Amino acid sequence: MWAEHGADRKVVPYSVATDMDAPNPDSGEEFFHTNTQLFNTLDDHNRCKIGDAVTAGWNAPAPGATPTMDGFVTDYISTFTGETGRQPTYDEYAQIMTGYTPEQLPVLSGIARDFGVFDHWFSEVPSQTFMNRSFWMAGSS
Amino acid sequence: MPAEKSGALDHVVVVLFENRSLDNVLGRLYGPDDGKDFEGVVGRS
Repeated sequence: MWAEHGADRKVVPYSVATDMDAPNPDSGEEFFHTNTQLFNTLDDHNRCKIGDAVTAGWNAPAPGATPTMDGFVTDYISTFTGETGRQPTYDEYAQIMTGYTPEQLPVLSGIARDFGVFDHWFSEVPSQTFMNRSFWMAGSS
Repeated sequence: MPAEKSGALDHVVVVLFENRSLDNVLGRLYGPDDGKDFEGVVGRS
C-alpha cells in the first residue's frame, strides 16, 4: 500500500456503496490497469499515470504469474491520482471495494433471482470494451 | 442427452454490462442462508 491517506489501515474491506455513481471517477479499464488489478503489479514509472502517459512495461506480471486479485485498490489510487492530480482520501479510494445490495438494485436483482446467474468470470483477455464485445459476439477476440 | 422438446430452452437472453463485477452488482444477491450454491460476498468479508 502506498496511499498518502489511510495507509495505516493496511486493508480496504469490502463495503456497501453509498452512492449510485460509485466509483467516481471510473476505475482504469485498459490492459495495463487490469495487470495492476489482477496481479498487483505497477511499474514505478507508471504510477499515477493514465492513458497515453503509460509506457512500456505495461505493469505486466512475470511470465506464468498467478493472478492474486489484490491490486484493485493499488490501481484505483494510481488512476484517481492520474485523473484528478491529487491523492484520494481513504473514503475516495475505498469506493473501489464497494458493491450494491439487492435493495439498491431492485430491478437487476429481481431479474437475477428468476434466472441463472454466473458467479465466476472467465476471460482470455481481461480488459476493456472492444475485446469484451468481440468475445460476447464471436466467442473470440 | 436425448432430444426432449419439452425440456428445451425457448430463449437465451444475454445482458451485457460493462465495467462491473459480480461482487459489485450482485454480490449480495444470495447469502449462505439462502440455500444457493453462490459465490458472492456475504459471509466472506
